[in-house]
Amino acid sequence: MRRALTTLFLVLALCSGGCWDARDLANVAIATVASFDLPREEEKTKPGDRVLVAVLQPVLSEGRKELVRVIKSSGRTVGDARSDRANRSFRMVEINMVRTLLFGEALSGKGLSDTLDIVYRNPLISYHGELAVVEGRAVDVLELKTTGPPNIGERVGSLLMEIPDSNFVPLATLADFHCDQFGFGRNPVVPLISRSDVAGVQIRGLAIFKKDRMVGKVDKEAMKYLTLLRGEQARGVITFPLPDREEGEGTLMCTGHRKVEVKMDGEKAEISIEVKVTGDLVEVEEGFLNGSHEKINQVAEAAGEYIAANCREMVSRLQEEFMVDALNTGAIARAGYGRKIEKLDWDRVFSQAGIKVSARVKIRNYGAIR
Amino acid sequence: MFRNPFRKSAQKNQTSIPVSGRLESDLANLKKALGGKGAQIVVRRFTDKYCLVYINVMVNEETVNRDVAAHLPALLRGVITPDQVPVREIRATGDLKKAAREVLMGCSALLIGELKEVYIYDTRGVPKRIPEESPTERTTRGGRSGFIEDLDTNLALIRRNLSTPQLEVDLFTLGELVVTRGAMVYVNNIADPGIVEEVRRRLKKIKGDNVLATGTIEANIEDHPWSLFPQALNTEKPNRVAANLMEGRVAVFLDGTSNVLVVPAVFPQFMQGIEDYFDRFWVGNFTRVLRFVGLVVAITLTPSYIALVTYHHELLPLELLMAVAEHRREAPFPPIVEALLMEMIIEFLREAGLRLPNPLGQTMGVVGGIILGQAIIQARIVGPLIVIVVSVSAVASFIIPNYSASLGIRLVKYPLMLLSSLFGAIGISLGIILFITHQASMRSFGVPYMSPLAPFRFRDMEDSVVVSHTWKMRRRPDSIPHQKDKRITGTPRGAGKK
Amino acid sequence: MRGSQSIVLTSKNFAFLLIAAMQEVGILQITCRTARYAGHDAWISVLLAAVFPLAGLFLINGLCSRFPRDSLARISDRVLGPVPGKAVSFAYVAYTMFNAAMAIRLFTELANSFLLAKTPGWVLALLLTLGAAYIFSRDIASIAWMTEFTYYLIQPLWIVLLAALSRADYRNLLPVGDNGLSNILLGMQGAFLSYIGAEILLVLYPFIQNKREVLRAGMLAVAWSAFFYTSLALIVTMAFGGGVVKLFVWDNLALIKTYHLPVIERAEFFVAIIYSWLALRAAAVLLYTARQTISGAAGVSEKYRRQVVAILAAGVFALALLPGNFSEVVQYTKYVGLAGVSMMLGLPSLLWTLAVIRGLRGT
Repeated sequence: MRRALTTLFLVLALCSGGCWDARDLANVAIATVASFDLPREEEKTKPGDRVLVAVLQPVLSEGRKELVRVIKSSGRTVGDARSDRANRSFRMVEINMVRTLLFGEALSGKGLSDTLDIVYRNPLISYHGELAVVEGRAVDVLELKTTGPPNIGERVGSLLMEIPDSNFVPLATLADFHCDQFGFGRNPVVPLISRSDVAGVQIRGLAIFKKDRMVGKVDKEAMKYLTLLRGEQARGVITFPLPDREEGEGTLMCTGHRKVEVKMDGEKAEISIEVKVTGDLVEVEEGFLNGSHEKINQVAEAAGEYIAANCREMVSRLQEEFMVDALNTGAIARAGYGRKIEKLDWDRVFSQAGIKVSARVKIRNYGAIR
Repeated sequence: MFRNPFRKSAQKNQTSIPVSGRLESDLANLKKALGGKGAQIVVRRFTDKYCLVYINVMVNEETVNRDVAAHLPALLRGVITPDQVPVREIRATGDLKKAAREVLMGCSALLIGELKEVYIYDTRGVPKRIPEESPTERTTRGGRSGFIEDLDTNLALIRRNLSTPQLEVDLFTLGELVVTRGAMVYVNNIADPGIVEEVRRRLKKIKGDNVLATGTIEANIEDHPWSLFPQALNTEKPNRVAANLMEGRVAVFLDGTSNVLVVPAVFPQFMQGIEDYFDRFWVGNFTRVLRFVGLVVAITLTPSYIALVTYHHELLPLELLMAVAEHRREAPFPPIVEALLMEMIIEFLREAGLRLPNPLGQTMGVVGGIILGQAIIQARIVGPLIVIVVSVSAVASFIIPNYSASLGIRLVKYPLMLLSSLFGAIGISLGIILFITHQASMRSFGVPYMSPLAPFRFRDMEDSVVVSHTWKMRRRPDSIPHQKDKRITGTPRGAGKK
Repeated sequence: MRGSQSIVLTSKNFAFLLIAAMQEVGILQITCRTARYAGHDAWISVLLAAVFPLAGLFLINGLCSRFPRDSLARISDRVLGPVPGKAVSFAYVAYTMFNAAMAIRLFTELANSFLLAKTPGWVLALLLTLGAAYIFSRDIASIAWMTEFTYYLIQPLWIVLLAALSRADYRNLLPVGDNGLSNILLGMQGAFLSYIGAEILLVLYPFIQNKREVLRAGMLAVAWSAFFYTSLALIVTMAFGGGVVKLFVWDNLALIKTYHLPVIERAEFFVAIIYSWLALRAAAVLLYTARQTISGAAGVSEKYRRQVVAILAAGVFALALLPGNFSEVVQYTKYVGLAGVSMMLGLPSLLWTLAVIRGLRGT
């Protein structure tokens, strides 16, 4: 009898508990993309608001007229904006599924550490989420009207997911940004996107950060060489001039990795970067190759010189224009020289370092015809 | 309201009635011991010295007339003695109560005046069916015959499978008011004497008015009668019993039931099918592993659905999440209620299918499943996903070969569903570890119930989650105590080559 | 209790019980705790910290081999006398209860962070306490088999960590030893919580069949745990770098968050769910030894097993609610780690020394 009563009591106790975290999917708005901007005056709900947060929620109802709903809210901080968002949505907005984070250019230039703090702290947001900086305002991308599926959120997500395989655009995840932001001798780079009439959004280049603050941007062409110099896992296409041809060009579909050596002499650094590119020759001026092994070597050499020249230009821009080590050579220096390096202002050291860049290209094959 | 049939009943009558040697008096006592108004009792007198008593519906009339009655004149003339009558079995007893019990079981009793013994002739002829395939243990390969309700036929079937002089058959009787015959069968040079003795001891301790089924025996002899899971293998297949006896187990037969108990039984055993050993190696292993997967699916699929849809949306792929969210918008009930409703419907269909005659039962399953499922979705009472989840879970529970175990497994998911509705996936993981602990703490005649998984016995893994070739199973499983460790096996590789 | 335990455990069972007692939720924080002092050399601290349980095993084995049929309650009674002996036994019980409580509380915090944010902590703690109570009310053989079986289920899950190798950079480990020996040694305390557990041998020794294999089995368990923890520390440090790792609270889960897996999507939640088993197993094993010690010290017979279980469970639940917030939990677990090392090394040393000096042996 006693055992039965005890069991009954326990079951009742259990049943009276639970369900605090139950969220019926029917009452939840699933956000897939979030954007962060500086608010305009008319967007501020309070005078001191410093950030505008918008989330994109796919609309599920049948016979829907719109594919997505954008819920905007502003606040002094992201957390403050979240609380205001709760006042504007008739369903509880769930951010666990947010996979893409977009940052407006202006906010990025001011610094993202305050914005990202809540994101880092939230255990529910995946570190695998992709980041991008939007030329202009990020919320404008969310508010783009698209005709038919996929919705804008899916388009942005697909664009950022697929890009490592397309045009030397590195996949910048939250984890990468976190490591680059807080790691010594490292700085993040993030894809730069903008609105496009055709597909909704397009890649414009890369945004270069000094820790959490955007300090510059490079276009699509320069982006390739910055990616190669960083040794990122990315593939893409490089078109280069052929040797002994005024207008002839060849195209490589390739991937690259790098070898970096850093030598310190006091506070002065000597950095040598060798970029190794491996790929397939997918296009060449007609009749150039004729199956000649020597010609292929010439093409590889020409490609290598072209890449090296562009890489050197990229390095000088980083040293002179942006004055930031976007190549993460500081981490390599730290690996070689230890903690004593951490006392240095590495970006300054990088800007003043002697940097040698060389490039080697290996052509694996040249396609189905000779 | 319900009388406990095992409550000790006071025996008002005397326990035995000795044969007096006076024919009329003995006949009257015998009739009294047989009870009733004597409607079916046949008394055939042969002079005033011999009297044959039997129950007409219990005997084989041909045996009575041809083998017994026809030889009584020779008996009268003294050409043969009573123990030379050509029947299958002859016993003599000086107790009329015992004689009455034998007559009630279909034997014929010969009362001989001036003799203080009654001769019992085995003339049993209760109608019995042909051994046929068990409906609950269908196989694709291997023997199809199954046990029937007649003890002797069943013992014959097991002897056919195990024709060895070491096969030991210990007969016993159970029940105080209604006596039922049973047999304990084992291979005496393989089975552990301790286990045999323990089984015998537990069988002797069974008290009751009647013991009509092996289920009653099982409930009385198992270590954990309150557990959901059986601790004795319940089977109707002779080849299965034979295989288990060869591993050192003990089988318990009971007259009147086609189910045989095999003890000790361990949980992984309930996932084994006899065709695993007859099919190709990879096929047998695939099927065996599939059953374990089915076990996990049967227990956890519905609770997982509840947990994912209620608590852990981020664990679902986004596209699936959107689809589920869309359906949830139209669903009037929370996921736990949907799940319970569908599970109840499946249980109703399952039970209804069992009770109805075969053709109707099959139709019921199809009609109920398809039409009811379709209607319930169209009426928007539940979403399509829960119908799929519950159906898959039900189908997964059907692939468990042992019917008793599959019943228990079906029930495990209900507390998991409750826990998942309260605490999400943490509830499920807690439920599972408690389930594992419960299983690990169970014993079957001293043998750990989860052997060879816990305690882990690597050598026994060749016939648990996976199944090896029979020619590689050189030793008997360590999990079951036995005397003779080595099997005679080990066919050389390429035995088919010259 | 003296000579009343039947021998029911093999050395393999003991190894799995030891692994269960050691590998609790603390392993999800082992790298970040050690990296706070040792930086990117956290893996060295983790590896070196294995010395403590190994030493503890030696000492406890040495002590218990003098009293092969006696467990801690009886040994301390004989060596120290009835009153101090019982004080030691109750101190062991208190420590074990606190250890189990912190294991439960740590998982509660994990669950509140990752899985059930709104569910009150006390509800989760109660749920786990009741689960642990059910487990440690069983006999030790059943608990051992359960820990072995669940071990085989849990360990392969760590293969998910290998997916993180794609972002691992060996340079994050360089230069090796750069943080200095003193920091590396200080970092060891971050690993203590994941290495304490050998003290269960003080209670379980009489149950073990082949006493000669105890030390070997224990060492294998510690070696395997050390390998496992060091690999974790290496992978996490290589993926994030020493500077970032120390910022994390749950470093392993942060690592698993960096990638996407098919079907289960968010592997960190899956791992967090399965890790409820770690907390339960650890608590159950520890509390079983507490139960045995209380029964031995207070002379409580097995008949009152349920009452002892209920009292211990209530005590553990109360202790689990003691820390006011997460940072107090971290602080208390640090104390548990230090207390555990003292219990592993100090107590057997003291008892063994006194037993040798007084020439005491068991029957």
